[in-house]
Amino acid sequence: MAQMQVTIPFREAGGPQTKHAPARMKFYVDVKRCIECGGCEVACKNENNVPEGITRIRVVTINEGGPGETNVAVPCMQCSKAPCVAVCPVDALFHRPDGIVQVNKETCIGCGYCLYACPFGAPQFPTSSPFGARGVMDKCTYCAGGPEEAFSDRERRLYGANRIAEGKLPMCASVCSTKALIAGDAEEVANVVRQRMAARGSGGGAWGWPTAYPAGR
Amino acid sequence: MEPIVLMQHKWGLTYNIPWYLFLGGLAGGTLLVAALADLLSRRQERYELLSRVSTYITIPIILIGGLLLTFHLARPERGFLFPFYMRNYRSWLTLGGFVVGVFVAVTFAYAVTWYFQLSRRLRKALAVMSIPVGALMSLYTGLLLAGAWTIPGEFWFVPLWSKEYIPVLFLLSGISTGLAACGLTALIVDRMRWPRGSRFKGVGETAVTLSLVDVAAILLEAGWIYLLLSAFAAGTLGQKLAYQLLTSGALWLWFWWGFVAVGLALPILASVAEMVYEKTLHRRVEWLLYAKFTLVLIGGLVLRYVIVWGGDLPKPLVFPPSSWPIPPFSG
Repeated sequence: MAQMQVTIPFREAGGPQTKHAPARMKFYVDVKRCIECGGCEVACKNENNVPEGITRIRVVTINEGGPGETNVAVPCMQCSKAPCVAVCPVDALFHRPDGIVQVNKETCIGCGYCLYACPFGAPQFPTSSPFGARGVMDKCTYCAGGPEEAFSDRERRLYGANRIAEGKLPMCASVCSTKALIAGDAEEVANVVRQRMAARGSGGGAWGWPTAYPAGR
Repeated sequence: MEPIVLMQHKWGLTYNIPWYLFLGGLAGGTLLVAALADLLSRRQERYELLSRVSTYITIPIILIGGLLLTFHLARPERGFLFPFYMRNYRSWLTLGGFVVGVFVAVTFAYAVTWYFQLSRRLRKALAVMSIPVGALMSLYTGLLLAGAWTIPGEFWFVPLWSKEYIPVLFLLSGISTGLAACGLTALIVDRMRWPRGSRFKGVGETAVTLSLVDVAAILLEAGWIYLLLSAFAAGTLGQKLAYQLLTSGALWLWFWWGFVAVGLALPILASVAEMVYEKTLHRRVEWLLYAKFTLVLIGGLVLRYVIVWGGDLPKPLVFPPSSWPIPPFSG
């Protein structure tokens, strides 16, 4: 138990040249399916023992009560070109080889710049006070723990669960009642999304969709 | 496509960052005044006194600003030792640490040459060096805010903090507040009763010149704010929401009355009144100058608060933008 290795999932699709390429782990939120049940929020807080006042994943409702009401669950979106990583002055934020963006809480100085850089508001701070008690940054870890030894007490205390090292997917995606929130290797997720869009016959209404997917294809 | 802006950002919840932005810009302005007064003094004693006084007040201003900034961190000791910890030179936070460091060093060196009356050539050389350093200090406070983006394609995830307008706005405000602070200090130290009379007797006469130059700075600042508002009103969806937030949303009172009225309009009126009085009554009306300088300083502080608070748009933006009209903004 003391020396467990972190398992990085490998991509199988894409042919022999990518057989051993590390996966790129992503989230996808299917806004046509999210019903704002909040299961993801509860599951995350429970699994990771999230500090009080922080919501690592939260459901945002747009046009509430009106036509076109849309719900979207927003965790840390694990951006490929993460602005938080780019602006962090002490390089506390980094990409893992599998694309998961993590914060090193030992390095973080709690400046709050990443919160302004993030378009999703994923980095959060436990408190707000003028004299250094605002705490270091906490955010969704993709249930991949942190830069500590996997399954150690320290990792659990600082970052929460490490489901990825167990070969599981993040808790939020695992419990999503409508499978609106899906997680996994980007290629696998894209395949699922493509199937859903084809089955629906039309896109999610995003800009440029009719050009990319004309009706009938 | 516009990003979704969700959470309240944290810099506006405590006084540290808005006050640091104000004091940082102010310190840049006062050092600029000190350097220019020294270089353009043509050996007139009152301008040399002004330069000396302005250098001296820059030191507590930047030290207090730096302390506020550092104690805002969760690990302030790493803020003080920033060259060892801040290694990401792409981040404006890191670059800013070095800007402040260089600024403090140059200010101290300049103050030392004044206090110990060292060689005039050395002092003038430091004055020349102080001009870009002081300007960069004020400018960088805006670049820090505008630097909260790094994605190629230049999306500003904080719509109000645009790279084109905020840095120059903070530079102009820093110059204006610097002139005001130097003028206020000049008036006050001239009046101070030392045992043998004020060491700075005569420096108060520079206050009128400072006030005139400040009027020019305020007019430039007003023009720049107008450009900013016009650009935002016709800009991206996020910028339009930011414009609404400032002008008619939750921040309208602070923006129009706290900044535009107190910081721009009233000081200009006070200056005009002072000039009229001076022409007709043939004497200086000092209380108007005191009032004007104080108003400019208050306006500068309120501007920083408005811009930092304006970085928190409390409502999510519509997604995708083409499908829905701009929601009525009720704060």
